Order: sequence, then C-alpha cells, then structure tokens
Amino acid sequence: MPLRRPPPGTPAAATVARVTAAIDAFCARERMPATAAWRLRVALDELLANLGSHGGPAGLPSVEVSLCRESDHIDILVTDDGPPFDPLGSPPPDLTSPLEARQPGGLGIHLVKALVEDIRYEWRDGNRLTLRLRIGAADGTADEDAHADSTGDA
Amino acid sequence: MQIQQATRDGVTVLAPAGRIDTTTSPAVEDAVRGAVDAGARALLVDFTEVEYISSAGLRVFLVLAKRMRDLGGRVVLCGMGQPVRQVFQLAGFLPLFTIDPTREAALDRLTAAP
Repeated sequence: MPLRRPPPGTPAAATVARVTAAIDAFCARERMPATAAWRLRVALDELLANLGSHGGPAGLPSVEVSLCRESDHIDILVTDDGPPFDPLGSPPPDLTSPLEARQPGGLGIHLVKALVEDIRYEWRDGNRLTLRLRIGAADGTADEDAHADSTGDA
Repeated sequence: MQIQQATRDGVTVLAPAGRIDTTTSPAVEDAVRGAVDAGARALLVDFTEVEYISSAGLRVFLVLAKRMRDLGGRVVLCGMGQPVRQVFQLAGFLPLFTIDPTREAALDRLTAAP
C-alpha cells in the first residue's frame, strides 16, 4: 500500500489523516484482528508525528508508507526524504519520576518500540524505517483483557 | 472527535469517543482546557468509548494532571479498555493517575470527601 503525501504545503495534520484513512482501508480489507489494528494505528501515528517535528526547515518531508500483510505479521516500511534522522537513537524517556518531572518527549518512539516486534533504521537515499508487527496469539490479547478492569491507583 | 461533557454532583465528566491521536488530540486538549478554565476542580475523564490513544493524547493528560495539581484540583480516569490501558502502562503513566474501572466508582471517589 504505497501512499505518497499530498503536494507540498499540505498541513501535516491532513497528511496524517490521509494515511490514517488508508490504514483503515488496509485493516478492513485484511480483516485485521483488533489488537494488531490498534497497534498498527498507534505506531504509524507516532512515526508520522515524529516526521512532522523532525522534517527540517521545509516542514513535513515527502513520506511513503508500505504495509504488507503476511500470515502472522505485518511488514511496515516508512520512508521519507527529510534530513537524516534516526529516531531509534533518541534517549529513552523517563518513565518513573514523579509527575512534576515528567516530560512528554520521547514517548512516541518508545511506544512504537514496545508495540512492534522489530524496528530498524537505515539511511539509503532517505530515511527508512522497517518494522514488523506481530498478528494473533503473540498479541497476548487474552492476558491483557484479563487485566483490563483492574484499577491502577496511584 | 466527539466529546461528551456533563456535570454530576459538582464533578465535570468528559467522555471522548473514538481515537485520541495526532489528528484528534487538539480537540481533546481544547475540551480539557476549557473545562479547567471554566472552574472544574473535580474532573472525570471516561475512556469507555475511546478506541486507542497515542502519545499526542498522553501529552494532553500529562498537562492536565500537572495543571490540576497546581490548582489543587483532582482528576480521575475511568473506563479504560485494553488499548488505552496498555499505552498508559507502556508510557509509565499508570502511577501518575487515579484510575477507576467504572464511571460510578470514579464519581463516588470524586464526590467523597478528599
């Protein structure tokens, strides 16, 4: 599912919305299980938001998203022609300090890493992120559902 | 993005529906900020109808929690489905919030003496 961004000058939000619609179509066509579908949507939302903030002075670079469904996983390729930027090199976010010290920075790529099975970055005439997202039993859906109603009081 | 807003026993209830992501989080942020600006100091966010949340949405609730702490207000979250809960957990956000399973439990907590 190659998807190119609209012409230059299109707001980043419109680009993200357009990719989101294409992902919805992909999930519907492939009858994607719910857990894989939301993980895919969150991961791509994070990666596109990242592009918006690291795209350089020209704003959002030209970006292409490819999704390929295999029997038990989805292969995802996100390429862009922005300045070289390896999001995997960012320092891990602070996940344990008290509220006052928490900053939202770095959470997006941290979530992506946690939600996918594998993620790699390379520079080859552009930024290339290759991800693999597991579908099915390895989602641990049953386990997670069992905890869905528990409380998480501070 | 639809966001239901109601007041019950002095508690402002916000119930967004759908996805909270890069596209929709500005609307959620507006609703949250509007409620606090209007004087809400007991705020309940009901995630029952939320499909999933990305870090753009987490940021909104981090800002809300900090602001309410500064104002001496209280925030309780409820109705988290597995996708929302898992993202809060992965981000290390669960210890930052008071979270109840249901709206009723959260309302009881917020209407009880602090």
